[in-house]
Amino acid sequence: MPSDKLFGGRREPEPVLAVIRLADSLPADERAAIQRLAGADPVEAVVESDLLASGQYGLCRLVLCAREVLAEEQGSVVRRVPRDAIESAACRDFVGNGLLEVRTRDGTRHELVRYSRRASECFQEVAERLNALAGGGEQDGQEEAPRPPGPREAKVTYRCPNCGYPLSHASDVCPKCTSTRQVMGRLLRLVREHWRLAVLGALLAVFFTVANLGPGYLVKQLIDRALKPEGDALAAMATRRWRLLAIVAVLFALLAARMVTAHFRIRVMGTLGERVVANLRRQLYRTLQRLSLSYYDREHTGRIMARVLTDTRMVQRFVGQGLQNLVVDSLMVVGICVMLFAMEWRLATLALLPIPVVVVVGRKFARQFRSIFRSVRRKFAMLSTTVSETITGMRVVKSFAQEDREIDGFEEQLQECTDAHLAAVRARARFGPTVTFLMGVGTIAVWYVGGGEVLGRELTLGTLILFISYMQQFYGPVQQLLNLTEAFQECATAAERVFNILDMPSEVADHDAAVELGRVQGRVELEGVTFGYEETEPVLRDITLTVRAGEMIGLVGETGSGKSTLVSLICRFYDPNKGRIVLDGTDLRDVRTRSLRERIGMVLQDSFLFAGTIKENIAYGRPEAAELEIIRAARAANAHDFIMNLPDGYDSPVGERGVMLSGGEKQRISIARAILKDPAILILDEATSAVDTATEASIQEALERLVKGRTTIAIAHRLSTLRHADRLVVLERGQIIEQGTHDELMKDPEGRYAGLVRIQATFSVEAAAG
Amino acid sequence: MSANDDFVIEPQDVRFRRRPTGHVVMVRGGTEHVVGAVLSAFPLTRAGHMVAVRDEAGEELGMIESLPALDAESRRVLAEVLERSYFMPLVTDIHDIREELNVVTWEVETDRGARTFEVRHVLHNIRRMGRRRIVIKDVDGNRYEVRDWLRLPPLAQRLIHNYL
Repeated sequence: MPSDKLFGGRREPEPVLAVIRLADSLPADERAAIQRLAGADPVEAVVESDLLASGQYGLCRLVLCAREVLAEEQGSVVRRVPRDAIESAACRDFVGNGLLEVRTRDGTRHELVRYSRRASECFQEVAERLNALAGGGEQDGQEEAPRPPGPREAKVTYRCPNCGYPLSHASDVCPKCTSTRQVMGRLLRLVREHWRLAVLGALLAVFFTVANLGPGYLVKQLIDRALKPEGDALAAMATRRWRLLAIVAVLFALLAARMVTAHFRIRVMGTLGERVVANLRRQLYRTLQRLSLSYYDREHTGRIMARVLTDTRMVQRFVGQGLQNLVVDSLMVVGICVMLFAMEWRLATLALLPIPVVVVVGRKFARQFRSIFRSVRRKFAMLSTTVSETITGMRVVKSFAQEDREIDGFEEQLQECTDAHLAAVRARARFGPTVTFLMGVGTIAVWYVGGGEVLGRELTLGTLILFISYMQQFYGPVQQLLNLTEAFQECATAAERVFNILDMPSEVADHDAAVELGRVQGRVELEGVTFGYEETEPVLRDITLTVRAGEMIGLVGETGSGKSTLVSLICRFYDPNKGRIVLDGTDLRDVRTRSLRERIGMVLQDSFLFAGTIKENIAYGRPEAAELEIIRAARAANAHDFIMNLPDGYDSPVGERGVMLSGGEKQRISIARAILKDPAILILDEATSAVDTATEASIQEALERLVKGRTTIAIAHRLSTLRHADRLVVLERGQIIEQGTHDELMKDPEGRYAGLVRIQATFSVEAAAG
Repeated sequence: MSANDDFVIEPQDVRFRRRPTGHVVMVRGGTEHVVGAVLSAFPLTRAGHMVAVRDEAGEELGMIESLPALDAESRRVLAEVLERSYFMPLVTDIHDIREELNVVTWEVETDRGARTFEVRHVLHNIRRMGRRRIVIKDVDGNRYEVRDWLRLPPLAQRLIHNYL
């Protein structure tokens, strides 16, 4: 069979992804062969796995027929399960491989097929389909599978949706699919906006080239007409003196012109580069603001910042400098070629002969360089990481007295890094001089042959000198053009990454008929809400909950039970996979997101304060608030006193450049911020960090004032919060298992809630404190 | 810690006087409270407004919304106290700014006289408030204000420009 060539042995020239292939899409002979295996039972679909049951790499086919599901290895059926006996199917994930398991109605578990993690996604789909066929209802593939006790490979392989090439992270650019041409085309379109500058730059480049080439020709004239004329050109001394003067004057003019042109050219192209990049950064920042939270969940801050700052700079460098170098160098090369061939074509051929050699040698070296530099970059990165880790963890190093070990470890890495750099040095030492030598050979050849022609009076001295000087001027641009391909590539990759973000759709977007909310009572209803950050792993399952206006609900549960997720959905940071959330009778998806967020206030675990003054932080969300209002809010949050104790009061800067506030102080500012906003709905995610009793009391009081009469959904940790809540909702693994007031729930000492209360340290401290 | 209720002191209800003993007192509805401290809530952006008055124990007696609304004598007394409470001379000219080993020494003229001071951590301690205004904090915590740097003499502008 065709696919046997790919699996079933040592050779795997290219990793192949598993896919579900329907019977109709199979080539005739393959289909016939599979059908023979299945006998009378018509084949519906086939999936190929890369692992045999024994654990050897090999081809194992899962064949779905009308009545049975078969697993085939090496031409014979090794497992078969009647379809109507299947109750459920699940994929079990292990390190390095997975397996597809089905359960039959008699309670037996059958391991159908093993696969390497490359095929995980595919078999996940198979499990889902089998479940659907078995009539398993809304169950997903992971429902019954218990977590394996051993280590789990948490990483998901991201693959390019187009060609399947494995990417390093979700939003990476597929190097295979990226058409450099396309990207540069798009980039040039950005430049087109400033076409005047670009045209001016091009014109200046032309002038510059002329100004560059001019002197060579003038020198020829100088020699042939003034200094050492031959034959007919021999004229009176006076004329020659005059010619000398004239030519030198023109040379001077050209020099001046060159300076002026260069000045303006750099300015013009530099401005172009800066404008393009400023535009790009502007668009990027705007896009980043409108992207939904799931993008920020997927991406590291560092990577996003690299896009906005570094990648755009690479683009600017290219547009501002690279492009103009390209134009100037090309013009020079073309100009010189033309001049040389126009003068003496035989000599010209000789002069230009080394060029292809230089290009070939250059390419070869470039490839070598690339791998050496890759190694250098890697080693240097490792070294930097080591240094930064040690510095960050210095406390641990010192407390375990491991300084010597760290020094030894660093020494090793330093050695490797230095070796890599030395390799680069050696490569550079070989490359530069070799190329110079080759070019020199060309020049010498020209001296010899040309010299002979001059002696034989076939060529003037001036022309020979012109040849030599143009050759000198030629190799530089050629080199630069060779280097340009790399810069080109770098820029294209950077630009592609930037365009990637610009093109990203907002996942939570307002549709056209979205309404603005008016005055909101604050009644929130969740109807059958199911949601998972990855669709196949729901964090919330079928949640139905009603929060009345003005009611305070406390969400309780262990880490990972879904509390924070629930709250994120209410804020509409994500949309539910199934079910809906309704506010005052309107589905959240029908509401303008901005309108919704204006009416929700949040006090989160991490009270993030922006760089700015305390006043600006409290008024964030209501910048037009009057000073008196700000002070009132701060007083209600029990923050006023400590703020007034700061030298600059409410004008004190906070954040990186400002005063260091304690956790309790930050929390209270966060509370003040929410109080000032006066939202219809409040989300409260209580910090678990311990503060001293006095601060704790202070914060509790502040929270009480904040919560009064407001629809509140609190992720509660404090006993006092739980006691005050109108209702508590206990979540476990994404489902609501208990509901009621604190007293009601405590009546059942075996209940989940009572158990949690016993475990939570915060409670014990509070309980002990009375 | 007081709640929100009537912490605002109405200007007509109160008078501030300095007694011969040197104390400043707040006279309100017949009662005299000795004033321990007078603090501006927004010393940099709204000086003279939203001023908190504390007693000698540090408890807040109340807040005055706007000083100009008080009577002349009260205004004078409070201005004196506030000037001590938040002292920030105005820089009128800069003679020299020199940097050596991370410490920047400024030689300036202020509305309080000539002064030389040292600044560290230039990023943290030279604060721009808006486009023209700058507040500088020296190594000891003293503050200096440049109300509009573009109105300074040309040399001063050139010197300060490097630190913006």
